[in-house]
Amino acid sequence: MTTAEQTKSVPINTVRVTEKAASKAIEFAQNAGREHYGLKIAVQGGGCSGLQYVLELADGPDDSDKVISANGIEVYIPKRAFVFLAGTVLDFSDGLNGRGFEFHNPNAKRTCGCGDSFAV
Amino acid sequence: MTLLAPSPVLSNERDAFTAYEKRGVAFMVCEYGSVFRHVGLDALDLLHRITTNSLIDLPDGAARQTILTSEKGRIIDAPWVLKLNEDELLLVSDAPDSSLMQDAIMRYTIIEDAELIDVSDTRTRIMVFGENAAEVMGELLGDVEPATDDSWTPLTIDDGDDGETIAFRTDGAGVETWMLICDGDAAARITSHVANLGVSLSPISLFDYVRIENRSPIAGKELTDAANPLEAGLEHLIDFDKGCYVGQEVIARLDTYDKVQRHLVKIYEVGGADRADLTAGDGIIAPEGGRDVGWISSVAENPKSGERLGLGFIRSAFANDGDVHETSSGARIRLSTSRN
Repeated sequence: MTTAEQTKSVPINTVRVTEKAASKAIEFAQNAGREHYGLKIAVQGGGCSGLQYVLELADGPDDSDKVISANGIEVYIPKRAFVFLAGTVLDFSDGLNGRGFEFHNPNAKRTCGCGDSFAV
Repeated sequence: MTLLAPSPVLSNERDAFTAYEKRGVAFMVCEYGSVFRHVGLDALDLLHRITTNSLIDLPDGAARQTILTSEKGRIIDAPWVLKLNEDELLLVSDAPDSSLMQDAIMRYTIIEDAELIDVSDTRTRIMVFGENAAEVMGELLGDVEPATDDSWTPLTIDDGDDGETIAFRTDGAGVETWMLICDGDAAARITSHVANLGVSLSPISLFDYVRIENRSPIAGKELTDAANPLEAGLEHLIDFDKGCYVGQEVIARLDTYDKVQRHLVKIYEVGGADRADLTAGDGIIAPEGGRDVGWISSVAENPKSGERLGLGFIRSAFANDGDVHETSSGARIRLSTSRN
């Protein structure tokens, strides 16, 4: 299944993390020696198009986070950011032309050249 | 500092122009613009991410101007950012419609610890401008070390403790210009003291005339979504090395490929008595073909000489120093690309 097909198949009320992206996040966490961790996905103002993704390891969810279990890792999404991320697939692209973690966000009407910033 | 009774306010514009020419300085109580408190640990970082200038390195006590642009690189506002401390900023804007800046910042405040609070009703903005502004500020500041170009100075007048004032240099009139943000009763004390230094109160027409004469754009007139920062001559407010901000791709492309289409110019009315007056909002017409090649954004008149000056945007090919064009109302104009 292609990423585009995966994006279409993701219910609009959730965020999907592919197996590859999840295993890469777990690998980063283990390399950093973290015992308790989850993957924080958020959106903040900034970037050429106005909104940019935030991706980081977190010790646990904040009170206002929505928690999703995905391929062996917990994903924490601030509720205020979820409206911009609903239906998104987080993938990991490696190889010579790989760009690392990639967001496939059906809410993004426009993205900037580097792909880190988007507008809804 | 001893306070004296305030001097009478000059009764007409002509006297205000005369007093300014004689004294080399005037002060104006701003009846437009706004002051916001921007509080929260992410406030500065957020502004750094969505505006043109570098702010993340702004030290406590510093003031810096930046530009909010749209995703298309068009100007929304050009506020001054004053860092009071780690989690409190003051945003000071000249724009008559503060909701544009407010909406733009709120739109991009998602997970950030940042809250924007309009305090315009409790702050008075006073501008001191002119070639002798430093002398007046020296009197106001007393023993306090004057602020450098990049910092604000708390200003205290020793007749009570109700209300504080922050002073910082903006050069918003195109000559030496200081902005005083007064809290509580401080504005009355400041205006009283400045008036007793023989400085007259400026009507908006005098301030406009001085800033137009010095080709200084202002929010709401030149700095609107009809122009981008490069067209308005605000390159000094853009950090081309800071990375992404809203509108950055468009602005970087215009700069890299030298694609700036229009330029801000000073405009002199040169028509005779049979000509229409230079009027803000009019178009500028190309000499051949009658094509609309720009517009007049501001106009001010010197009531003593009757001279009318303007600022406007005109397409690069028609923006040569000394070019003579007509406006859509029939005024004849001459362009100047120099500051004075």
